[in-house]
Amino acid sequence: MALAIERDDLRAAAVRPIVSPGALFWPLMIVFSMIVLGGAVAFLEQLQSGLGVTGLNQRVSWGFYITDMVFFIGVSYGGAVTSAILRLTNAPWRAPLARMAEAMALVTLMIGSLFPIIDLGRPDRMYNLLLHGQVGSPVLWDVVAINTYMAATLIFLMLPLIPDIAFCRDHLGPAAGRMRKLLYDRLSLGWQGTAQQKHILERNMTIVAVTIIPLAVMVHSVLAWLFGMTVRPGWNSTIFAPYFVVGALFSGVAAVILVVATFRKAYNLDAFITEQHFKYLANILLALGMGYAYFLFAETLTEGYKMEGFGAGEGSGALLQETLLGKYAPLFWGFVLGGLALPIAILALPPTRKIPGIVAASALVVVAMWLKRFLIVVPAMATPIMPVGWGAYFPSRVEIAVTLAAAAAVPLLLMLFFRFFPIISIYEMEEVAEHESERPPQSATAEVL
Amino acid sequence: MRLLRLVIILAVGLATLSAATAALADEPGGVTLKPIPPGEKAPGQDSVVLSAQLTSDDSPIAGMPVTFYVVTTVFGERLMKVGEALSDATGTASVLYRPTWDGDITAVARFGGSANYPATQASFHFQATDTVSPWEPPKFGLEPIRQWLPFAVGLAVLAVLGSLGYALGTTVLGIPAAAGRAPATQPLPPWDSRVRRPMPVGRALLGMAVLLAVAAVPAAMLIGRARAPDDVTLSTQSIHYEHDGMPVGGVSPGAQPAPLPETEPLAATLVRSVQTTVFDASGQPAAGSVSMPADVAITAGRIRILDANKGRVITVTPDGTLATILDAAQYGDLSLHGAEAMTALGERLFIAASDGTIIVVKSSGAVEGVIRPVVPAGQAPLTPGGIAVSETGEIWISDTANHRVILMNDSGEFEQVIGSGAPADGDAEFNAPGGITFDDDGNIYVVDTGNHVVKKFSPMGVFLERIGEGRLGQPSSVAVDSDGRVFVSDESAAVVSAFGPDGTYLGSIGQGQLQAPHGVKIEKGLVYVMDRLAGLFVYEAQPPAAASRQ
Repeated sequence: MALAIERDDLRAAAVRPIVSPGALFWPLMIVFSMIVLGGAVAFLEQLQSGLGVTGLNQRVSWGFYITDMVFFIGVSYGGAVTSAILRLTNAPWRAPLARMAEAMALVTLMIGSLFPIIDLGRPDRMYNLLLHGQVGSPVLWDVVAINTYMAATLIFLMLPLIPDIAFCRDHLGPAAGRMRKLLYDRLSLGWQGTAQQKHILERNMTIVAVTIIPLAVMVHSVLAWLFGMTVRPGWNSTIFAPYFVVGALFSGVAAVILVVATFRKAYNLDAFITEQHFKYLANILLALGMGYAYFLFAETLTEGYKMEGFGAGEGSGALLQETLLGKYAPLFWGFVLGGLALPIAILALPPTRKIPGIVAASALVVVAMWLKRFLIVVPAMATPIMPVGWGAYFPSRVEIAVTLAAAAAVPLLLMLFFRFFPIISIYEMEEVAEHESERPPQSATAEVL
Repeated sequence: MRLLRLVIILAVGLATLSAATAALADEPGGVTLKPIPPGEKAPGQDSVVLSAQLTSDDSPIAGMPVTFYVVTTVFGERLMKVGEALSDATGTASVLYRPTWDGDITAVARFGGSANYPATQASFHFQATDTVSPWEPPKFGLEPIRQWLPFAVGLAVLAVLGSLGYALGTTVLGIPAAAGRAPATQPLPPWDSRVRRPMPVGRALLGMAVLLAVAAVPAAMLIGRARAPDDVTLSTQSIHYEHDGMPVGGVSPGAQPAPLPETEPLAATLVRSVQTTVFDASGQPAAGSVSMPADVAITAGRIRILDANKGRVITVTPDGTLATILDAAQYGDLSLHGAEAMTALGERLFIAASDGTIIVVKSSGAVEGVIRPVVPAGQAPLTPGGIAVSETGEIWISDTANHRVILMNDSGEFEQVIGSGAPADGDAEFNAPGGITFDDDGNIYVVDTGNHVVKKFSPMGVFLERIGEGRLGQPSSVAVDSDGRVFVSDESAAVVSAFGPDGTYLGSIGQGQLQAPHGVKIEKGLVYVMDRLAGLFVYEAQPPAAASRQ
């Protein structure tokens, strides 16, 4: 009986954004829509006038847009891989978080994959890449990898959604309205929860979870090779691929924590997402943070030991000098202290290892990891590879507007998504509860639900 | 007795003379270095032999080092060292050289001199054919891997896509097929009574559309104006140049193009013109030719031209030929690539390098000193678009990309900054400032390229007036004559426009002659215009009294 009541609570909570989005829903939609629209207008201006309206120039031809691409795809990677690993390891606590992590992965990937196109002065010529793409070019690898990964992320999100859509179909019924009903009818694929259907679904979810992990690793490795295979100070590194992968996971898990905390608060999901869930995520974030710090140290040490350069003030040695002690030092040390040391301390120390502390640490990590991507992209571009002096870059209002729009599009799309689909995976929660109830009594069902 | 004394004096003189002659005969005579061009290359042979014979009075000099170079045109003309060899018993020194490009190659043999022999050098040409690319093929059998790797990766991608396709296909097809009986209408569980009916999708979408429409207006106002298509067509009238990855030209990326101004001729006589750039068949500057000259100045009565693309300063000799007086490549830590402006003060040239460094050059071409700006922490590096130096040593720099004008002292420390650092059109603000100059009263004139005007400031930096509004398209440089007339080069209108001391438009010069006028200077009443494409033009504008004003 207790299980039934909890199940009803779970179902009510899972569809709460659909049926009762809350008083702040529309005001927030207006705010985020305006920001997104502002970015769209800015991009239209860029389309009309060309890249001259950005701060990009001959020397620094990659700026905010490429930073955004690496950042958003990295965040996506963190969401998908975290969910996939937890699913494969059958960690029961994943169930209430998985939907949000997977939705965030898809949304951020969609946004991130737009940036290579936004970065083009003539996006209409994108088709040339498909017509005349060079197999040896990391740019083509990136296009293939990102699109494959997007398909995988979509399927990864879709599969566990089928039983939940069927739930909405059956239980929201006519009350959902005609269009929602049509949507639910089509997307639920006639799900009735038969044993064979469950078997097919479980098998395919495992296949996709197994596939998506190496795929995500490859996507971010290819993204890293886009830089690492360029003979340019700061990028000419063999460890860039794992460095990027760990960085992506780091920012991705932090973003998952932020998304989960926000929706938990907004839709009163405290009963299902407890402080323990945040502590589990904090453990992962802490380990990744230390791993990223290790990579940062290894990269900096090897570059600093060599201090290569073809002349005074040039080459990777000069770049390191500028990064550690020069004009980029405030950004770099801001990242190291605010985005690595401080979050690690917050996550590691018991007094701050509470939900507010974990959320604050995650927010610091997300902002700092964007900054780190900026430090990877821009200073390296500004470093002279011929004796012509340093390049300069300052983002224009167009780039700032587009970047803000991308940031606003994440909550906007997530809010929209959860207006149509359950925010918590009812199917997985119930499956996990069922398995847990089959365990010996000390394994409390209530803890899962 | 007198005769005897005379004989003795003569004898001593003769002896001294013969001793001196003998001593002179022991001194080495003229040292020559005779190049020996390489012979025909044997089939399959990659390298050629560069040789030169070192002789003194036709006698071979053995055991002396001779260095060989070839002239390269990569990053500007310069000597690339091939190698060094000691001369043998016949005075011949030889090195092996593997040419990496076909065609005429200039080689230089240089003897640096020794205690007994003066330095000398000689150059010679030879034709290189069937040269070998500098890129060496892989030596460790990586070629098969390179060939097969794409296939392997492609297979992996296909495997991933296949597994995803399998999962998707079996889900989409299998789940409906595995459905049992039609589901019975399930009773709504108790929780359902606790929730409201959701907003229908159609209404939600309509709401979103209305919301977006309402949000569009403030968002558009927030972000900035969307430009009318008419403005866009004008962007083709802006002239932009670049070289070696460096932008050249006064307009910042954010600057808006202006309509082409209407111009009327100003009475002026073309005194002199010098073609600075020779173009090859493909329309590119020929090798060795001046390329995209940026500015002109006069020192020691000679015309100096800033050859921005080649990173050098050249002079126009009295017979009209061009000669390099400064090649910054010879100074390891200096670069003139992409430099936009220079100015003369007395016998010195002050050149604003693209990295903000100010290079002080003597009239001989020797670098006298370097002023490195002390940019305050957190500020972007300077991007000079113009420079003016006062008699008292004040250096004014227009910092194009940072939209400001800076007064610095001769230590490079900032003393005054005009402009907010962001593109704007206030009285003391700029959008990509370009050329800068003084008049005889010390007032400062700054070309505000992106705002299509010239702004005049008092010697203390107080804004005084705008000049040329509506008359300038893409102004780049400015000069003021002793009558207070302001001459402004306009790259989009391809003229130099003149304005009176009160800002009245007087007319323009150079119609049909100028193509991309950039630097402008006035010296002894003559207007020197440095055109990036057409070359140097010197005009004598009619005196104000005779010129017709509008």
